[in-house]
Amino acid sequence: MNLQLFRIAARNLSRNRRRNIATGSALGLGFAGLLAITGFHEQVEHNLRAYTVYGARTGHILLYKHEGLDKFETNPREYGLDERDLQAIKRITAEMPEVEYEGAQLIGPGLVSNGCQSVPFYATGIDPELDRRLQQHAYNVRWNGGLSSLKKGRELWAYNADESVIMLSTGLATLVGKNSPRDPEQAGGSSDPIDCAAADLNDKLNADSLVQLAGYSWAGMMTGYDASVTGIFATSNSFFDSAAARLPLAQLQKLYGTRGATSYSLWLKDEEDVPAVMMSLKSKLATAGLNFDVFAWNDPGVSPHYDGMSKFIVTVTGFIATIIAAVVALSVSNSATMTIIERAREVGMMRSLGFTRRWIRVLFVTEIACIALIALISGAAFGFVMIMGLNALGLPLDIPGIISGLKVKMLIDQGTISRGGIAIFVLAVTSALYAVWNVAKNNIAYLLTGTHR
Amino acid sequence: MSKVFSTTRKLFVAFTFPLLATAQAADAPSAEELLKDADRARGAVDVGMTWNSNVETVDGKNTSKIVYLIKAKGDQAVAETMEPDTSKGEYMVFKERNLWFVKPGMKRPVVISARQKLTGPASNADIVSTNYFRDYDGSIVGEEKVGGVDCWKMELKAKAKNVSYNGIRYWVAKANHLGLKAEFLSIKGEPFKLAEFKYENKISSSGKERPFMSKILIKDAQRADSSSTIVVSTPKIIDVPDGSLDVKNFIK
Repeated sequence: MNLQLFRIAARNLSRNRRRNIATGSALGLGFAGLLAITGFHEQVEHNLRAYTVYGARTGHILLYKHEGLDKFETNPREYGLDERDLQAIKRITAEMPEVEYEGAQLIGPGLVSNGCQSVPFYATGIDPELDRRLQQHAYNVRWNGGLSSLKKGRELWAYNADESVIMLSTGLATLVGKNSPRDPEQAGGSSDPIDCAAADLNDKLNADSLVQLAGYSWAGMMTGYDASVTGIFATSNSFFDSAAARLPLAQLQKLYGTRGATSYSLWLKDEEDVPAVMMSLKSKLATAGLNFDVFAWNDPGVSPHYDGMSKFIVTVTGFIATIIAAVVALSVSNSATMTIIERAREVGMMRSLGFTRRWIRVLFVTEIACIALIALISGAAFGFVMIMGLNALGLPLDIPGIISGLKVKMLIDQGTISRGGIAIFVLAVTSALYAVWNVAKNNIAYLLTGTHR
Repeated sequence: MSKVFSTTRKLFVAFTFPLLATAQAADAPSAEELLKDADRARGAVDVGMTWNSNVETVDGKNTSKIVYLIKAKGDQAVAETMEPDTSKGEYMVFKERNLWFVKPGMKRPVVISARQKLTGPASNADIVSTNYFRDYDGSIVGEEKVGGVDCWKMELKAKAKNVSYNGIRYWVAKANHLGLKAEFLSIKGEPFKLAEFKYENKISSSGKERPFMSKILIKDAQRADSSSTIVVSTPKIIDVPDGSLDVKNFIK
């Protein structure tokens, strides 16, 4: 019976090759399109994830003093992690084998001055060696390997953590006229007053890389020290580009007269462990009597950019996938409807010979299933070649909020192929079944006379 | 009948109000005179002066204390940090509307611009040092009591863009022309900082004894738990050589 069904189905498929090829093409191209759009989504998700966790130094898990996420900036002394807090956290995380890297980060405002004018900055302080490990982490290199925020000079990890160095964003460097970063020993600079009204002021300012940093300590005192501009980096938006600065953690702590930090981040060996480690961490913190807030890396509060972009990409790719699915469904349904209308008398004849409605429906579904299988295999091959080709072209990909420099590197894997293939197959079969269902249930005389046309 | 009465009342108000206003204006000193007198009691004098300022700042649960030694003459002033020890030897140098922060070991002073003077110790120093007559156009807009003292209420508008505040509401005592209260306004015209002044110190100049500020309470209008109290002590007239308050002299 089954063999007979397949024989008849195969014979029927050869009767209207042009339409079947068109139907198969719609299915195949739809599948290839679906592979491309899911591959793109997978890529962007990895780009965002790598950028958030490693590139932006967020970590997989973040710890803040209770309410510190919202209130640190207005009252760092009360809502920052002090030295004892940091030591207590380190004692707890030392017993967690899932942790790959960990470290404190400090953020805060200040002024950078060139002797003529001062410009406000917003700085991030991080341990330079930790920063090197994060930027060179295999996952970050794989997904954001083409990105380098460094535009001039050298990264912080090229210097000792106790050296007074600072990296300025490109806009901030321009504002203070320090566009030629140098190593500290070549920073130059003297106490001689600068003629701030001189026509060649920019040249005078650029003659050395020395700046003065000033800020308010956590205790409310005005503080400051000299620093050498050793690097210039790009940021992903114009607002931060004229205000961002990066310093070794110890140097920013010196500016704020503290040994504390804003937050403490953990980078895990396996991201899958985040929920379990968070639970364990909360429990241990509570046992130790520490009232800290613990956040996962993708919490909208700590990673609003990731959260917003991720949702946006899901919406866009979901919309495109829906359109592809609708086109496939309509193509198959249309093709099956035309076929069954044309073959209504044949259906009536088969019914009169004793074939059941169910058998006829299965026959039509088998025909579509055969087309779908061939189309999916062809579509997968085409999609694979298309994606590999696009990846090989190295097309630029700009994701808002991430430094430009990414390339199209769509991801294609067995899971995506099998899930997409099953989805397209089910869609095709369902559409065909829907088209054949009503026609097959008509009575034989009705079908034989072709009245339904 | 009532219409006639109403018209009569309007005419009465229309004729008498300008007369009353003229009478008030005749009693009131000029706004410039008030500002000059009030500034003098806050340190804007042409002779050299020195005094100590003990600043206690409360920010939420945290309290900090700083002691400054101030030297001033005319448009120039220097605040040398005496306490805490960690900040000893640091200076805030004022000249006209400019402020520099100088710290031992730093090769150049840090310029603090008008907008950057709105928070922290610089904002306190800015409020205390502001020369209202130089920086603002004033007008008397009414009369009010402050702590039971009859005052002229003044509205001050910034003369230039590089002053810290766009406007100030200022209450100056009628009897002795001392500024008792000030509200420092944001661009929207809403209070940003509030200050109350007391004048229990005395200075003698040209054989005349004058009141001098003794305590200033500065509150953050946006945050009830943030305030600074500046206690001024031992004000005296001293000889301050010309140029000795120049920022260049504080760079080593």
